[in-house]
Amino acid sequence: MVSLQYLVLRAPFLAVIQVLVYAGAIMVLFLFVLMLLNLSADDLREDASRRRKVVAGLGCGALFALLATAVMRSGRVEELSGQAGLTADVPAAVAEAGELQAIAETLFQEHVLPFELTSFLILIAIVGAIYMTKARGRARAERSAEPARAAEGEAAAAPVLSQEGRT
Amino acid sequence: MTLPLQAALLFSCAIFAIGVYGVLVRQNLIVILMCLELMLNAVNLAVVAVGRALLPQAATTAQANAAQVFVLIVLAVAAAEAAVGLSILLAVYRKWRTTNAGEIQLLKG
Repeated sequence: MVSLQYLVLRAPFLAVIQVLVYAGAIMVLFLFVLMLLNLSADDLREDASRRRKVVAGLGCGALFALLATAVMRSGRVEELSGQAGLTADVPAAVAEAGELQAIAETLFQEHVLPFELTSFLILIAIVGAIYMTKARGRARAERSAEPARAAEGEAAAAPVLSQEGRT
Repeated sequence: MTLPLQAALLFSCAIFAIGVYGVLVRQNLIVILMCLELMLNAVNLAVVAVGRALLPQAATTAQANAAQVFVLIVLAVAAAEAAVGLSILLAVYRKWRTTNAGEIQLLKG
């Protein structure tokens, strides 16, 4: 739906990227996590109270009303929208805007620094994600090895056990 | 048929409000993350809509494309955020065996 809206807004490249990133990457990631968690129906049970739902619904309705009045009453938005709104003709000089070549030129000429910073951010995210999953796995392996060591210590001598417990 | 800017902005306001409602009501961390993505998308949509409305005033293609390049970078950040969020979720699940936000009450790992 968001992708269709992008098409309406003269952003064909973004529409394609939206589908690729969300359907191709993020949803697959969510599905993988769901698969890894292996949740049962009991885990998914939610006990959100009726009152909470009503209050949250009212709050979000109020938020929407606030944003909507801000949009509808704003003179700047009215002025920007003009007569033709989002279907207005565009000047020939920028008719290419939103297409792949134009976006690439803008991205790699004007906005190279943010682009490079983004790649660095993604690298950090990858390292963080791997660390989060790896480190926990190692901790769990140590914890499962601990009872065995504790049993050995018990058999040997009590002071050894207490020393182990301190470390 | 004309499409006023207000319509596009109202649409993104509606999506944003739905996202906030989801974050407030649902207790499953996975669904909360999905609702965060929804809110992010709503804001992206508003940025592109305003960028489109500014198009007749743009002098160069670079100016005209600024909004879309911005959204492109936000998309990349959103993907990174989803990856980190889901790995935190995995770690939380391994520790407490639950994805229910109401049952996770300690910051201590």
